[in-house]
Amino acid sequence: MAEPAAQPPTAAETPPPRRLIHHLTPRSFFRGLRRLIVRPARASLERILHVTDRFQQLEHRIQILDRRLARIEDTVRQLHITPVGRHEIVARDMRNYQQQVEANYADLSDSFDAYRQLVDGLIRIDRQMIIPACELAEPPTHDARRLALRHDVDADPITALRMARFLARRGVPGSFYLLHTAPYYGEFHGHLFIRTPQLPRWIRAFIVAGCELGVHNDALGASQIPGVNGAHVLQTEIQWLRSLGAPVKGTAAHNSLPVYGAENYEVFVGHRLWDRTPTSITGEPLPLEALSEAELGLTYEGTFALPRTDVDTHAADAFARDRAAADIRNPAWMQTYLSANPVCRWAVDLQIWIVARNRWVIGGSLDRQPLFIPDLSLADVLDFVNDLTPPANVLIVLHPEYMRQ
Amino acid sequence: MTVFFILSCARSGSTSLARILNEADNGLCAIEPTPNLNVETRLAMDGQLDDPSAVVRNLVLPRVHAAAATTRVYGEKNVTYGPFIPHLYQLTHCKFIFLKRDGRDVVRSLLDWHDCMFGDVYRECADPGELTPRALAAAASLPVHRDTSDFSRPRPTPGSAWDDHWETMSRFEMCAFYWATINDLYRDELDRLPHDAWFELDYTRPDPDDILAAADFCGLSGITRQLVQQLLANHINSLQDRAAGDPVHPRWMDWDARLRRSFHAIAGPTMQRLGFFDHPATRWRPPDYGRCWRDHAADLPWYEWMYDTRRTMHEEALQWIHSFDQSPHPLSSIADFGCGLGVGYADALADRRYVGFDLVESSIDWCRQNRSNPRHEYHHLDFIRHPTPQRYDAVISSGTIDNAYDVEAFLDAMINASSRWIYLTCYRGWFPDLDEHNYSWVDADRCFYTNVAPRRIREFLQQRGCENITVEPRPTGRADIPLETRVIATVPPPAENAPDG
Repeated sequence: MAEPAAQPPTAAETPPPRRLIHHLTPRSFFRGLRRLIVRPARASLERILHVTDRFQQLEHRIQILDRRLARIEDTVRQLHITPVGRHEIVARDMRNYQQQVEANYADLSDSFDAYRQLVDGLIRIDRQMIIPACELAEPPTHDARRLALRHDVDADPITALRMARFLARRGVPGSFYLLHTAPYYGEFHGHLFIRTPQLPRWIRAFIVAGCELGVHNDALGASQIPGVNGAHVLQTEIQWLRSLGAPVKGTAAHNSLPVYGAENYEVFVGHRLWDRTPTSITGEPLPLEALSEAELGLTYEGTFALPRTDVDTHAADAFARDRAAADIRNPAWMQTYLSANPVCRWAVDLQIWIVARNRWVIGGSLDRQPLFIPDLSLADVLDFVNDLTPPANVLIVLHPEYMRQ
Repeated sequence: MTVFFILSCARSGSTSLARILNEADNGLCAIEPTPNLNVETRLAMDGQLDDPSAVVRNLVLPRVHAAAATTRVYGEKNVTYGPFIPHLYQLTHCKFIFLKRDGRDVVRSLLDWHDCMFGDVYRECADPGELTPRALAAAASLPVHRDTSDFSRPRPTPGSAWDDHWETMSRFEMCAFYWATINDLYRDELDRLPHDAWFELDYTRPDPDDILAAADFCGLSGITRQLVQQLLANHINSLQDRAAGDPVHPRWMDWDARLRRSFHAIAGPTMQRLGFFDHPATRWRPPDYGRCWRDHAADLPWYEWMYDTRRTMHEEALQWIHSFDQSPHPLSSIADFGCGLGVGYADALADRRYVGFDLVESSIDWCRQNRSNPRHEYHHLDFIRHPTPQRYDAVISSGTIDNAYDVEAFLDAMINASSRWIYLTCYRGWFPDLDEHNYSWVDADRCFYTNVAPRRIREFLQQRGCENITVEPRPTGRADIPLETRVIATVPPPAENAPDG
């Protein structure tokens, strides 16, 4: 709406001239001096100081913005991120990414044929049932060796898809967990999370391959980013995967206790390992027990870790603090993690992990006795499973980047 | 009791046929009774089933015996009987209806089934497909280890053909493999049985009389022709019948040359074995190809108008022929593929042997009646399928290859008919950016309108041993099609000692 045009005042409305000096006395003189000079000067000075303060605030904000822009520019330069479309959505150059994955895992990675041999070897074993991880949580109905193939997709979604496709060719189930904080998945730019453009197509391919698809839970990793609520991030990604048609039933926690001082699965109600208040690198409390699996429609947690009722808090603290030792290629640490874990027990009998090229470990308990066997070859693993007395629940933990060449 | 089994691969019409046969008044035909042998058939094909006979005894015979108490004729359809045919025959003394359908239609239907309905056809394929929400939801709700339907489909066994390529094959190629493998398996097994044990029925364009004959073969009665027609009109178990919309994948007539090559490499031998073509040159010839030319043969004014429209190209061709006149080796015999009424060429080549070939009999008849040059001949011939009686110094063709059913077979025919040169023009234009010949079929005309890929022409001629190859754009002087494609080459020495014209 337009404002009415201002009208000049009429003669009747014209005010009389102001009288500035009236009954002048020394007191009134100085009072007038203060009113006419000092007060306006002070007010002007205050306004100037206020503006200066605003300038300083603005300058500070510009510096922050500049630093963020520089970081983004740097990231774009390093990762060959290409601006796409008019909204300038950034996209990772996945070919370059895959080349870097290949280089980074060259010394550790086995051939894809090792994966074929693993799957075909497992298929040939009598009285086995290869089931998705979501079914491993259910009570067994057969006197069989129940095997679940858990694929933690830390770095290599392309090989993960290749694995899912190979399983489809064999009619064998596998469970794949996409790491929502991995570069292949997406990136935070400030509070803005941008998913990799290829991601929806990969997810469709996983769905068509008929495997189980879940989230490799890194809620606590996301919580390390200032201002980011990791629990909310996890919830969002579960919902997003479902919006693409993936029937997400479970998550599998990424990393281990020493990395964040807490396990990622502790973000769920009932999974807190013991009573403490771990914080992120920025000093914010980590969002333990912030989410309800039931409310999120999740039926299981894919590490199959269960809180102990008898946690020795000193041992637990020591295990949580020993980040230097926490390495899957450290047999001593893996033995503790799998067979003598001070903070959790396992809902599966055994776990079989590939930790490097043709290097596997088996840990857990057999006949209620702790078991740990390091430095096994694939052939050893298959022999072990073949000789395993049913019934047994076995979780086979695979990282696609170790079987990719 | 008479027992019969319908043998077919998926998407071949077996559900439709079973429903029709189930209308008999003296028998019944079950559709995919369980156990459906999905798992067992794959294990058998992979060589991992020790006793196929036990599968028939334990899983099929009980229901056959149960049916004997209620009906005089019992039949059933599943798409998994392949490895069990000898055991079914031995244990039930049954008859078989071998239902076949053109593999190209089956492949298309499988792809549509995947994208529009279930999303689970060869789930290992690298390309997930362009799934509808319905198909995506179906795939998501059926984990692979419970998907016995996809499991039942054959995969190359280790060391067999296609095994090394399987991981990178498209779903199109996988479906072609499926069709060929299953149908070969059926035919291999049926060929070992007495011929009166099985009846072959082509469901590509189902004929009610053939279906009635199949019913009669099985001893079924009470099915009328009218009923068959009515049920066929329902398109049972089609996408439309399942309320999944219209097909999204192109008909095989609209496949480009790359798809044609892929399909033929995988399923070509089976297509010929099942009688879907009788000669490699005609494998892409649709039924009724060229009917419009036969039904509505053009008259002289039309051909003269056509000649005038492309006069520049025709004059170039004639100029090219005459350019040899002063050489030691003039072109003294010319064959014209797709000669029509010989407009322009009959007069310009009056001084030499000119032999016109055309698919349209009425055009040839007109030429024989109205063209009296004793040096000239006219033959009604599908020159792609049938070799010319002689070889000629040059084989020319002006704007005919664009409507042919197979560009390479057309070129092959020209090369085979020539002792020295081939010369042809493509009237639809110059398409230097095409990677493949782009076929487009028009139902009303019953012919193709093909954009020809110059690089593919060159590659093919090189493969065939041609030399002095020119594939180039030529200006037409027209606004609508400013450039046409001209191809000139010398042909390799004939492999056979055919007489020269």
